[in-house]
Amino acid sequence: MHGSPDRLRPWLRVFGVPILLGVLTTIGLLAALIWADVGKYIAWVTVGAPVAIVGWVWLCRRLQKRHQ
Amino acid sequence: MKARTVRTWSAVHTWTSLISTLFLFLLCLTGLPLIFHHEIDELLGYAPQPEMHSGVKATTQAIANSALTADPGRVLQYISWDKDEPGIAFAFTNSAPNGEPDKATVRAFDAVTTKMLGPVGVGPMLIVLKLHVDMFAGQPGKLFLGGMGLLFAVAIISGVVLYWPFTRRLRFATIRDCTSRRVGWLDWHNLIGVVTIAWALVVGLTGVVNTWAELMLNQWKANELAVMVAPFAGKPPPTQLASLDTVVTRARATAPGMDMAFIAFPGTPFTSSHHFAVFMRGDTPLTARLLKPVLLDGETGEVADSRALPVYLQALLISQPLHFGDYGGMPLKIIWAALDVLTMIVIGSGLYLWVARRRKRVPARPYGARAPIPS
Repeated sequence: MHGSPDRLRPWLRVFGVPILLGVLTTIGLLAALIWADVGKYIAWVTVGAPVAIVGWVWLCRRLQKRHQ
Repeated sequence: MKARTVRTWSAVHTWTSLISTLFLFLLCLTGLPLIFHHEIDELLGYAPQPEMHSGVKATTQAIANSALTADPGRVLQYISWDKDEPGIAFAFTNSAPNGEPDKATVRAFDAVTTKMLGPVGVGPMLIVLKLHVDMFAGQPGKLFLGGMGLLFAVAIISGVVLYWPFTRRLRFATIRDCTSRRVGWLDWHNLIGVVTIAWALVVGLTGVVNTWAELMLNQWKANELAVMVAPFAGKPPPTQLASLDTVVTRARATAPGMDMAFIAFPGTPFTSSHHFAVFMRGDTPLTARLLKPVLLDGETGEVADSRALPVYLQALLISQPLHFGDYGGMPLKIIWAALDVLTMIVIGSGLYLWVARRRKRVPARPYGARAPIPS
């Protein structure tokens, strides 16, 4: 690691999206608890994001397979 | 990452997962309907509905009298109010104030007319709840499932470590299902597992914290509550209970701006043998979970003490909505259910990968690992 971009880049490429999703999920879970009115809308988007990503990848694979 | 390191983490991931698989399946399967327990109870006719939606609320003593008439020969343990159901009061009766929780009868009463509306916590959802909470094995069953939850957390963390050697040469969300069924499922297992880490850890660990509820309550009784009731040491259980209306008025005056969550009668697990404990809650989503107990003399109704709950009990109270997912409306419940199903897919695919690897006797090989990992 040592801050070198060459070493950092693959690490970020692998863990970048999972870390972002983890942070977003945590923010959403707490937002709904702390600010019920606005927070729940944040939670729907951020806690729902992993579900949306899995759904999106599944859909893309289905469409790709159909074209093959 | 060295092959030996990968092997060690792989063994940790495999065995923590395998040991807990069956129980995690049970927890996910039973957890799914429990997310919608309110809606299911309503649909099956097990959710009591208030007769009067408006009007002057009856006094707490009148509710208590109605509850005791409905269950002659038994005693009241608690009277509680649900923030989302203002028209209903819930009364818990049992054979003795410290009677076992499983023997308690919970009935709903109209908050205006005090008429009994029906039993609460019965029907098919009770069976699902018992399977989810303790598998009908009481406190040992609860602590055992807590242990399985801890194994689940270790499986998730070791899975994150293994995610690196298995995916470091792949683009995010690559699914190689044209290569072989096993490789395809490995990619799905990795993708779904890694995007749901935060949710799975939060729900898993808050579930574990919930299994320690009784232990935490005993700790509070032995320490903080013991200090609060120390000046009244040696006082016998009350022979004549104070009027609940006096108790309620004084508790409200002690915690202005707060609402009553529940009243614990003297001798129940939530208070001392001589005192009523009225647990007050705030009105924002967060403060509504952070209860503040007011202790009152069981015979005179005089306020004895009132202190905030210790941090560990507040953590328990805050962990509950984070486990149930019932605090963000129906869309959050649906997302909770989808994440629950995704977790089952991760567990199922993990089991499949383990079986397939053993059957083929060809170990899954992470990119760049110098030696294959033995199965």
